[in-house]
Amino acid sequence: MMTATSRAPAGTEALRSLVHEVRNPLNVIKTSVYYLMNAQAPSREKLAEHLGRIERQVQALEAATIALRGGNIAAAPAEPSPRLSSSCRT
Amino acid sequence: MTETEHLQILAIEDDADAFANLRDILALDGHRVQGAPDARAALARVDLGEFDLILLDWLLPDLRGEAVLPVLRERAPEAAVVVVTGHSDLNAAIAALRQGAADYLLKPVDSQALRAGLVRLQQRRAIDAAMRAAQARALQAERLAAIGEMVAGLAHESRNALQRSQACLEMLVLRVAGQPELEGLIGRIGAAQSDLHRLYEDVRAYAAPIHLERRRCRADLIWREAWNQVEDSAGAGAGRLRESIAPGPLECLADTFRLRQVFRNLFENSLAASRPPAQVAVDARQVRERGRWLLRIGVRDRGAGLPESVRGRVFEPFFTTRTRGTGLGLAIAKRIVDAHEGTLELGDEAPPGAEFVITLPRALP
Repeated sequence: MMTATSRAPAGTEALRSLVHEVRNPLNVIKTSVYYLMNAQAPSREKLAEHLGRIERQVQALEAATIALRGGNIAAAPAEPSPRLSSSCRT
Repeated sequence: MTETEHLQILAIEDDADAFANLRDILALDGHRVQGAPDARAALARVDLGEFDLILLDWLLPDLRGEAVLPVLRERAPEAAVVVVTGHSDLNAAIAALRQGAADYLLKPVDSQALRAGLVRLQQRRAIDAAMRAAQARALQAERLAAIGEMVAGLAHESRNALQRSQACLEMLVLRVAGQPELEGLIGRIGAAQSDLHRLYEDVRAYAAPIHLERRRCRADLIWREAWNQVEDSAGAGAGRLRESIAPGPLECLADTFRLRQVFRNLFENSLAASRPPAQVAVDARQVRERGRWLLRIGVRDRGAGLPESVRGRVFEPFFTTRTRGTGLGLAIAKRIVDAHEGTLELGDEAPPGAEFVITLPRALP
């Protein structure tokens, strides 16, 4: 019984940390999509910037899920390389 | 600040992508967003008090929001602080709102809701500004009423004394007939008395409450009447009026007597600023601002223009760069235009000369 109650807060904390790791990339993805859908004729550079951000944050989410599978949320890389934006600039 | 003015925003956000997106989205509505990557950088800014809105990430690399928010409230009391965070922590939300946060937004941010919130903030700011302006006007009116009462009493008491001294001067003129030096001195005393009388009248006119009797009228007819009056007193050939009128009606709802006084004061100012024969240009057109049609009437002289040190003070009562005059002409003109819910401002400072611009609500067809 003691073991069960001491595990619960640790699990909650891990979950909170995961939620935070997910919310930040989601925030960037959601706001970039909003911008792309609402901006009046954005420049090619702006399109590339936002697509680059979306890709970076998708990679951050991927890294978070991989880390979660391994039980280490903190291992997620902060800034993945922006490949999508490079391809868009061509 | 008015409803259509854009907000100055500071986003304290350590995630560069999140900041860049906020900046791009808020720029869709014309807002200007500056960034600070942590609390230290934000609090080091000397211009914190100039922001209308501060977006605060609750979990910053160097400090938590509860430590930053009270400092922001103290250093930028006019700014609304909106917390933006990835942590759905009820206690943190309550703490933020108790510490004076205007809102608490959870990431991922609903951009549409954020933009709508800023529109509400702009509207609230506009209402606050209008209320402050109304309070300032009421206070000013109270002060002016006190001045007016005092000056009216002073003028009344002085009028008898002035009339007595005028009568004495007239008798004295008869006695010194044929002595030009003495006649000259008496003339100068008479002129000084006239100046004193005019000063009383100007102060009384400036301080008196303005009660408008508005009716539909044509602005061009009013400025021409004013020009004729000024030309009559300055003498024919003192100046020439050139008009440039864009197509469209020039009708407004105005107190014609008062509006004529505005143009007269502006024209007198133009003549005083120019070498004779003065060239005064009136440029009139309709403009649309904040959904309202306005008449924009510019009055420009070809004098030396206004130096920077003077530009900020021309509408102050008793401020003048001339050796004659009370320095009340432009202050009176501005009061009258303000009472018409219009504006009287300095125009483009590009040469030649100085330009004064009146805007008045256009009369509806």
